[in-house]
Amino acid sequence: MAAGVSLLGLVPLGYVVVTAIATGAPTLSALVFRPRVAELLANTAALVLITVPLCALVGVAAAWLVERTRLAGARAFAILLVVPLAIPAFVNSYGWVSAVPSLNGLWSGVLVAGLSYFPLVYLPTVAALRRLDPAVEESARSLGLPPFGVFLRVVLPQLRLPILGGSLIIGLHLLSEYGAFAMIRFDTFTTAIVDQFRSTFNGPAANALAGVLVLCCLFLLVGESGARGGARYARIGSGSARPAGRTHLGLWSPVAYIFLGVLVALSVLVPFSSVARWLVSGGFAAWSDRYLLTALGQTIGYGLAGALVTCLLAFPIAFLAVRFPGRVVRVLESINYVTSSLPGLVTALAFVTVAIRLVPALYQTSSLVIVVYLLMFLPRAIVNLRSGLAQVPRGLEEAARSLGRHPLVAFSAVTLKFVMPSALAGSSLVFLGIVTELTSTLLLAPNGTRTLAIQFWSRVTDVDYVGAAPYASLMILLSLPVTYLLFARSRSEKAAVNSL
Amino acid sequence: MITTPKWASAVALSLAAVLALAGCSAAAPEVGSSSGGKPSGAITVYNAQHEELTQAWADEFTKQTGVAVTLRNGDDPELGNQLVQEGNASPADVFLTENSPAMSLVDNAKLLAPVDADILAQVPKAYRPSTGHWTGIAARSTVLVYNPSLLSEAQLPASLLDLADTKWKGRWAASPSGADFQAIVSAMLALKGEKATAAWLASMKRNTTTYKGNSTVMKAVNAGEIPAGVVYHYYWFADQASTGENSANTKLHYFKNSDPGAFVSTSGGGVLKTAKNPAAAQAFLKFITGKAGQAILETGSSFEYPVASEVAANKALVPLADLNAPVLDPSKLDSRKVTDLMTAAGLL
Amino acid sequence: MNEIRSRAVEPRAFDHSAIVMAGVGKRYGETSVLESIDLSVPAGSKTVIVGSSGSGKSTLLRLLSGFDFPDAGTIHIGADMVAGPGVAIPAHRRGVGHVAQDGALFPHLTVGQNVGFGLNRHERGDRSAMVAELLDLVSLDPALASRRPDELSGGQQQRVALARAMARRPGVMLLDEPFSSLDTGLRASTRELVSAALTAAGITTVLVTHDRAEALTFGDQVAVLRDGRLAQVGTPTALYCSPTDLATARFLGDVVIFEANASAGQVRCPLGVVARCTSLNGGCTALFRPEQLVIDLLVPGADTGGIVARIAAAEFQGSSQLLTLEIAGGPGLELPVASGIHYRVGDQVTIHTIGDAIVFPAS
Repeated sequence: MAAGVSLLGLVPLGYVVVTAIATGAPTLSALVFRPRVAELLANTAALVLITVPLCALVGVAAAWLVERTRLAGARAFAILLVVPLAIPAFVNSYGWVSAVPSLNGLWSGVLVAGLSYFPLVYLPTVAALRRLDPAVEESARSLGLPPFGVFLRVVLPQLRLPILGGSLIIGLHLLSEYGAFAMIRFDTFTTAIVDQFRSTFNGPAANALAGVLVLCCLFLLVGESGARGGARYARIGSGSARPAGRTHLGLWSPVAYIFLGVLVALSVLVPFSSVARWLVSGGFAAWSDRYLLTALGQTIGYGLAGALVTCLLAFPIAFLAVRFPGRVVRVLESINYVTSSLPGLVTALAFVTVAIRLVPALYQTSSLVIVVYLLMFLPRAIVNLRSGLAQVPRGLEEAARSLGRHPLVAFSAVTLKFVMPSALAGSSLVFLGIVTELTSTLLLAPNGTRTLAIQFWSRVTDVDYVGAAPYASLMILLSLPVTYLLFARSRSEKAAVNSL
Repeated sequence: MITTPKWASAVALSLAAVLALAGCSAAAPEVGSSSGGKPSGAITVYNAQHEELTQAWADEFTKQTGVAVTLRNGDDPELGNQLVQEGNASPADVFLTENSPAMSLVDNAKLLAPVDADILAQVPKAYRPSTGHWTGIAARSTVLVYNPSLLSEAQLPASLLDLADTKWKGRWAASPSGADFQAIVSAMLALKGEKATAAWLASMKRNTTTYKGNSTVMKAVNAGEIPAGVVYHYYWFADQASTGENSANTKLHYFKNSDPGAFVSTSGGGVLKTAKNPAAAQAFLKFITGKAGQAILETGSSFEYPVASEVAANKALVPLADLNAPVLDPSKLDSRKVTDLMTAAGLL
Repeated sequence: MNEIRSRAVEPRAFDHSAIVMAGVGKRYGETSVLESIDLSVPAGSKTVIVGSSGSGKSTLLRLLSGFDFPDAGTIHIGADMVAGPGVAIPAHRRGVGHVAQDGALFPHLTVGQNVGFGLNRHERGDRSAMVAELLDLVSLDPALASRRPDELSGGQQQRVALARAMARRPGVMLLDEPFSSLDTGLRASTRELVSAALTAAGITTVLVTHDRAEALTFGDQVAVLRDGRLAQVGTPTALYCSPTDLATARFLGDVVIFEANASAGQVRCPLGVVARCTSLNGGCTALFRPEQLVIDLLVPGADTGGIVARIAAAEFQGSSQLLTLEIAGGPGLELPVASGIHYRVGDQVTIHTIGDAIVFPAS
């Protein structure tokens, strides 16, 4: 069954390859090797190469300030710095364009994307910092390293995994983001693919661009894997429960406060105040939009259904990965991982084609939408379930069985209970992803679908910012509980905060 | 091999079954009576027109006949191409467009059924194709929206082709990814030929600031970011009628003189050959082109031009007859060629 | 290996320095964790600080290492004051070696890189040779240098941590419960190896532990810490044979306790007159170490002196057996004896005492 899910995951990749072959080399090279593609490649490369290091820097700095210094209000900052995760990137863009209408181009893209995505490095770094063994740093100090040397040579190397992992995810988000960049008129591969799709519905040009985009994704994946190396940074030994010491910033405090304050203001206050402004000017009338309740219902419906399906189907794979690890399982996991790294747009394109040509009964059905969501968000569920399962002491289940419980009952009474929190975390992440998903829903949705994201986008393209505000606020409201859950788990010693 | 718990397999299988059933039922539209008599049941409309306008048509139609209307909203070429790809498996009954090239695309793929004669009788010849496979339902005029504080009347271009000049570099905007602009280009293609159009598109790549959407173009001109933009007329009128916040600082310039810039684009409506409820589909088209449907264009907030049943346009608009639009057969406008040309120019 | 190398760069090298703590105190908020600590560790010697968890021994070590600073008192290492009024030399400038509870090896470096971490730039040239030498010193195979820490066993990690700390030739070495996470069998052998390495290098060592065997075997001096204060400081023998209070006595070994009565300078308990004490009168406690009580099977008719008791229970424990004895008209007591003679329940035995009991006031 796990194999079945992974086979589904091969569809998008297979689709790109097959259409490339079908288009034929001459047409394909004409479509790929042209100035427009070079322009898009330059834009996309610049975006990634500037935004990712910037996010990493900001994320690590913020994490260190919050976790390892004696800043007053560190806890408040800790929560505020996670809030941007509840604001979809395209809503953030909408907020910024409302405040500064002339925003456009590369640097605006870096600004908006950076502010939306830095928590993706910040959060895992904070979690890792909390789990670092302070004795290691103390040993380094006793070996003669001054405090800054300790940070550079001992702390940072141990943070390599969360920093690299977070950066990879930011890179992949950058490659697949559409709404945010469309609004500030910055052309990337994904915006161009959507434009092509709008014009030709799956024409060869759209597929050629998708092919290049997939190559970029794979490039990022390989790069991160290489940079990570074979290192395992598991905590050695039982370790003491003592938290690491916090540094006094002294004269540097004002600088730290300004930095964090500006960060929070830009990433949270600007979008929130823009949405509030439009809500106020729209008044109650905006809330009586006829589609508001339908959109809310549909979004929640898709979110819950998607989360449930994804978690259920993630379970066999996670189970195998923990209890019976081996090469086969690793391959299955890798396929899922690669597929989910592709932009949702490409996966959606693939399934639209496959559905029309091969399985018309599934075309334009909610099931197909759920299948694509499944493939996009599976790793979030797998990774969380896996860490939950890994913490279940194996002997417990056997103990229950030896006490006379039927294996199934033993399983549900023991293992399931342990796994519940991780399953919940995984489902929440999937839910968050679905609520904020725009592009693939646009492509796949059955007639009459109106999710919050789709309605928001249609209001925005009509430049009806006032009408878009209620949808934006609902999306944020739906995402806040999940964001809080992520924040809570990052502070818990036992949980591992995993890929978002 | 590896034993996964039995219950997990059972759950997965049942889940798959549920999903499959849900999938099938969601895909199958309700079928109404197909032959003669009063229209009933439901229709699926692939709608590329503005959602508000079509929703107004649909609501009124449903009120009058009781037929339920489900809309699938999208853009002209997106839906047009989708219909072509879906072929005979398409669930659509009716296709409504903003411009004619997409409709021609579907017609050339032999997917449209002939429109009932009584519908054709309601629409003047100029606004329907010779094939009789679809009909015009509304029209819109190309305009140049400009900011008087940045562009004086003396500086206004006489023809759309003038915008190729280097003095217009960075001074005009458009939304080339949209179907609307692509229709305007298709008109230029039909009027001036491929070579001239390709040259003009190349100059556009150099001169134009691109935006996504006509409203965004107008907003930018209004804000003074750019002196002029090429859009359709009704965006301006609609904004003027509401708050005016996106057009208060702008004026409209009509090219006239049968210039490509005076192109009046016909919005089309057609019934699919594979419609599951052809009677209701035809009835919907009849309603739209009838007095009641066209009156919605006159009195409503869309500000597009009515074309049928001799209904006059909204009082705020310049009458169609005064626009001096070039005469074109709407079925001859080629959207595929336009996309290729624009891709070659690096605009797509 | 015993040469003292002077360094051109920080930290300062204390060679075989003595440690002197005077009046050291530490509070966390309202709670006083350490109070009036006066401890002196002679150069080149080994001191063990024992106490149960919560006694403040880890805090004491952290004050010596420089990770924390005392609120009262002074700490001298060698000739220099490292902590005191107006003086607070941080850890990275004290040149004090520190081995943490789990070794705390750097997980992202190999064993060799860990050991060589503290090596000076000048010494980096012949790093691999020095690393091999250090690993050899702690009886580890130099081939382990290319492995990663998580590939090593607990005992090996501890020894690598020691080698790492010793790479800097510190004059003082601090060990924080380094053997507590090891298996019992491994604990003893690792302890011996570490002790030998430190003795050979002549490094002043302070070991913190809650383990009784370590306290008695590792150091030249034992300091008992209880509730933030030093209960007693002395040689292992002194503490074992002459504990100053009951808790210390119990901590360092098995005890057999009797309620006793002191009058006219004599202390009397069910075993007879067991000690002389002029300072106490009335009720008190008499304490024996098990090895001070000798039992023999009662031979009917023979009078060898000693108190008669009956064996109520006998539990086989391998080389020893635990007997529960009932003294006629008196209390019962538990006594471990060697298993050579097999005693049975119901046997009558006589108890003789060797040496005097240790007398404490009644608790």
